[in-house]
Amino acid sequence: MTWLRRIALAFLLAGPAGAQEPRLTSDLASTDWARAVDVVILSEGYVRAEEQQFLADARRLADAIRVDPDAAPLRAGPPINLHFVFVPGRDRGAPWQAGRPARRTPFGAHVTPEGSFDADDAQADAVAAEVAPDVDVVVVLARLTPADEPIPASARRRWARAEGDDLDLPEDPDDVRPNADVPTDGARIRTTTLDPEAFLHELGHALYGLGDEYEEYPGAPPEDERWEVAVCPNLTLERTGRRWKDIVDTAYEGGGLWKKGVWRPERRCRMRESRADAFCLVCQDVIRGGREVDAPGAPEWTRPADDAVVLLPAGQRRLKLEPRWRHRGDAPVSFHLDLRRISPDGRRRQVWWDAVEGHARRTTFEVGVQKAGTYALGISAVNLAGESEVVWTTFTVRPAGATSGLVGALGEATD
Amino acid sequence: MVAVAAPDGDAATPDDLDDAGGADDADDADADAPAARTTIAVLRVSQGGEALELVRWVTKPFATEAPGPRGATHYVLEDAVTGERLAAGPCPLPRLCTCPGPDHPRGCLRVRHQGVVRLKLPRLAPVERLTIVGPDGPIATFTLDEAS
Repeated sequence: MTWLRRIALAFLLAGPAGAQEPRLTSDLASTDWARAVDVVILSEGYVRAEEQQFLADARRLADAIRVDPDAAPLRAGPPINLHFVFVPGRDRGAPWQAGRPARRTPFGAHVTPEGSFDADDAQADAVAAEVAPDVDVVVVLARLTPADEPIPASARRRWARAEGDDLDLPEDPDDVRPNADVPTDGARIRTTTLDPEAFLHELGHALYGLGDEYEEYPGAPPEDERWEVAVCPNLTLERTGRRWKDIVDTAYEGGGLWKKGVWRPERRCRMRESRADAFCLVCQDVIRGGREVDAPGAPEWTRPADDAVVLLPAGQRRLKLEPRWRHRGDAPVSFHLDLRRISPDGRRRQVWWDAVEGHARRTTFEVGVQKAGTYALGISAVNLAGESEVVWTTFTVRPAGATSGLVGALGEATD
Repeated sequence: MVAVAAPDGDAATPDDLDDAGGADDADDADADAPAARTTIAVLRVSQGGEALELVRWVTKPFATEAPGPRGATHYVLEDAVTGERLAAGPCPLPRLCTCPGPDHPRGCLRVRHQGVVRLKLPRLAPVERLTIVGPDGPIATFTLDEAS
């Protein structure tokens, strides 16, 4: 990547507790803001005299993008601008012990009682938007309090309880795990100065919507969590790996945090080993092209047909449907389905939703229904660039005679 | 698949299925033309996506890309003075957890009960009215007044 120029600006901003005079330093690759990827790194846990320390820490993080060989797919995509925003706080260091409240730092970084590293996302986004020329991903880079800081008795008691609760609480600043929000959740990373090696992995989440390929839980994902696999282009619920067959013809079981029932494209990948390994070919494909595709076109319903009638056997409270659809053009990452009941006065209430993988053209679901009536089933195609229009089909559920067929026949809508 | 836990009864605003929020007559020609300026709006989302708060908005001196399809949730931008429709585009919102507990760690991702998103909009009038429209109709309306 060619770094065209470096600019430095200073802003005055009314901030939260302890925040004063945010200062922006940018390493620009492009001023075509709409096309460039703008990564905004915010300081957390630094005091006024420590701007140079923050810039050194932030540039160490940014080197993961600029020079790490494993980041080559990122550098092959749209130009990446790096913006470093220094916001001094009153306290030095954010707390690393689980459950300890945030200190007087700009973005309130802290570790929750459940062990998750968190920050004030709204404040972080607001400062990033205010100070940087553009923002595509927000990174809160926290310097933590030192490990030898006296540990309160309350923290020790919490750790003791956590042993029984199977929680993964940090017992040292090094144990604080960075985390990320995927693009539809805000494209955000919370990380610490102690773990720059994990930054590329977290960018995989925040910029490209990639899923974790490692395993933490035994067994397969429960029914109501399978959608989380469907929305990740590098995971599948099918052992055949049909989802990425045009890139690789392998599929390895284990991923999406689950040991069984979820497959990943290759044995090794940066999304599996957070701090080492190159991205696998499927993740590379997403990274290289994912941000420059157009939003997908809308799918078309083939079943149930609009105005279909679905018979509900007398006494049955379960509606089983097997909807099918067509889609033209490149396969999206996923299809999102949304079932709503329409009351006689036209009001609608969601009763079910799901997401399925982008190569699917049918699904099956069963949902409890309180009463007969009119329902609307919506579908849209989703990729990293956006979501298609939602296409709806309406159908009426009517009770059949007491001797009607099985619930399984309900999918046979009159299409 | 996910069954939605919601109180029995119909809480949504009535809307034509083919015209969620009545936004379809927004001026697509205008929406496709790049604006010379961009508004970045920071929105806080809660109550399963049914409540929105405008945290902050700023105007930037560069053109937005033409908005894509509107998706399940979209924005409608109007001139607050004349009522003219200026643009419409997608406004994807996070899928939030509706259980009564706190956020859940999920590997190095979070399962959220409240979300924050940034929405990029063309800046087309000094005083604009921004409406976020969900599948069942408008969710929230905000005024973006450059003089305020």
